[in-house]
Amino acid sequence: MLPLVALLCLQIQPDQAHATLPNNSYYFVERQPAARYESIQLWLGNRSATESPETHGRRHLAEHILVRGLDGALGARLESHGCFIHANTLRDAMQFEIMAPPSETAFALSALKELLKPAGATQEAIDHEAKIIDLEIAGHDEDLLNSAWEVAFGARGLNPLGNPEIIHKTVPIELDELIGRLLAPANISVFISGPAPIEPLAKSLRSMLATRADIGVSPYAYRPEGKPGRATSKEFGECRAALMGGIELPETAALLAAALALQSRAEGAELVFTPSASHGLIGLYQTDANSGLGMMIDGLDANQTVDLYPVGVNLARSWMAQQLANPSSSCFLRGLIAAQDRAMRIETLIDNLSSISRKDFIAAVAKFKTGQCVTSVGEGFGS
Amino acid sequence: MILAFALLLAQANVPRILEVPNANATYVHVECVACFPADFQPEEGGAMPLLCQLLRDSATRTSLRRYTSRFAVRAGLDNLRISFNCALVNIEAANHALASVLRQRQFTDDQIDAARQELSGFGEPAYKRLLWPKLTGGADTELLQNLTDRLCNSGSVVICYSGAIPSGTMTPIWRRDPYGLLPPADSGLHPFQRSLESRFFAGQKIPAFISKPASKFSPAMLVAAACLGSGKGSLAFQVLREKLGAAYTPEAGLIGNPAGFRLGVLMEGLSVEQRAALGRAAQELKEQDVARAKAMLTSSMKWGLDLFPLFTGFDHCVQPASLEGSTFLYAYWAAKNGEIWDPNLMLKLVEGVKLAEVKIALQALLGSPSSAPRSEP
Repeated sequence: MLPLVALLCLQIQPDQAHATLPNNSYYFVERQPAARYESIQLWLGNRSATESPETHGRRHLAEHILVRGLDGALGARLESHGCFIHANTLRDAMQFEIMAPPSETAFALSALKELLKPAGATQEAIDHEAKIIDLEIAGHDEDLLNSAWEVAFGARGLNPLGNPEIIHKTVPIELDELIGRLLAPANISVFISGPAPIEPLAKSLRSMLATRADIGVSPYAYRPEGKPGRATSKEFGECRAALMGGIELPETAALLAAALALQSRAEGAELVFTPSASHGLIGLYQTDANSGLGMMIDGLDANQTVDLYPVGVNLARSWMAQQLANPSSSCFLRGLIAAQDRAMRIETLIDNLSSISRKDFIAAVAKFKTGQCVTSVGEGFGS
Repeated sequence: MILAFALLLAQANVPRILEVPNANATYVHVECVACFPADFQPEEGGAMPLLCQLLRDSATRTSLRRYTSRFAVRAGLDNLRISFNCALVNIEAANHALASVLRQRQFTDDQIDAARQELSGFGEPAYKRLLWPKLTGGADTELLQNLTDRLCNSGSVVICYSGAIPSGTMTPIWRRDPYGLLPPADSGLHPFQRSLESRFFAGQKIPAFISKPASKFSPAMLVAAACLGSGKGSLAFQVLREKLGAAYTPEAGLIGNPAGFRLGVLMEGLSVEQRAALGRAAQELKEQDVARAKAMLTSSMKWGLDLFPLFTGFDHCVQPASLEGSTFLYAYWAAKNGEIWDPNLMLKLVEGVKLAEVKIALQALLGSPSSAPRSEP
């Protein structure tokens, strides 16, 4: 098997290596000599595990169960070694990140192994985590964006937090079956970035990932094109989101530049850009002011938009460079894309950022304007 | 990273300057911090959002924004913070504009009205609203002038420059700038200077348990703060989330205060019983819990992982190893304690903290097992 693995292992750059193993699991390792810590990220794709309104929230519950580890105390054990674990359920994938001091990389890898071999869910653990998720949903502050997603994509834009009723009714056998599908090798991608040399890490990953037997999963279910519209939210503030195609489209690079340029004009506005292999949203929102963002965007005339062109292009290039220079965000961008489609590369977006035309930029700004965008407004808006 | 400091403590009328040059950086990050004096009053806290807006407006008038990016003026729990990024080529112009903003004393009624108008559409975080009530009568020009006198003077302001700066260049720039001399700290009495008995949080519904009185910083407090609030093995996480299901992310740690630092749990609606459960868990702390806390502190100070348990603002903890976080911490520590923040020294001090010291520090917040829990801190 080793010669085959060696054939599959591609050197992208001298300080990067990645490979798809014979069982269809995947890893990517990069060395960032200036980084202080190692980011080790497990990404689980959604193949054969796409959520529907009937199962809405089970992936989130699975994330909570998995991150507890075999004894329910994986987080505290990692912290005793100065490592920290956190997990995220996104619409298109699930992320587990262990951040570790360089001296504790081996311990962090043993925790990764534990995540890949869960003990099985108990009803007690499900009941406990279901209550915790209730608290998480109650305190969640991205309702503006979630509302926009649901208007744009309907059932394919369900928020990743889930439906508390379905989560509470989930039984161990349903959850174990879902976790089994999520942990199918074809859904598993591991990303490591940090100061450690790449080959020992790659060797550990090959040995860890190769032990899992391949099981068939359905192809990735691409999200269809969304539609513009208007949503309301319980949250204070407003959100403008543009409909976005896949990460590799030139229009996506222009939308990122447009969003960053608009953000530079809107003090306090947050930008949410979640790279996707299929259709999605790129959104600007503010939760501390009840008006102004939409008016500013709609009020931009042709000259003002053209003035923003160099600003947006420079901000986008600089943003991307900063993301890739940071172990956490580099693994995040790469992992989220690979969890959906391993043939796609963030480098394509980087190439596209260097060739955004003025015309593309103007068209991208227009996608944030009323009529083309998804607007989400807080119920207190205008009051 | 090349690390070099120049702290000029006794520069009359020139703000205290810190430099952290980094040959690999492509821009300069600037943090300008003034900590509240120990006798800072609730009325002054209530006026801080308005003062911040006036300073933002002033930054627009003085072109400070033109030379900078990520410009922000923030009122923290115990500090006024102005921060921005700047290209080295623009640093002299940016300093000139910053000096002009810091020298601002007279605000016209029109400027105050405009700032108030701009603030009127803003929502504020829940516990900010609770800790700092909005002024019902409004801040007048006299209060605002006193506040700027007390904060924006050469004795209070510390400015830290990190990144692409040649060592030893910032102080000469301030010295030769015609606006570079800030008014000195005023020792005169102010209308709002009252007895220390008037507590900063007096009379408000407090969404948290905060120890009293505020104390001078000690390494044991920092380790206690990490035991209390850093990570999934912390008391707050284990008791409030895992055992009691009371909060998803209970926040707890070391909280800056005009009179020093306090340990605290920042959670709205924390009950007496929940606090008592925390107190019991604190008494059962073991050596391995302290070791976990020390490992977390080492990771955040040395390796750049999150979860450093120091709260100085309303939004988030300080990240001591990031460019922005470390620059802020250098300026803040000098403004607050008159000392240079030294992560290596702090790690040595942290390593020497004993379990018994941590328990004593936590007892001040949570009470001893024999004492009845109090409902009001």
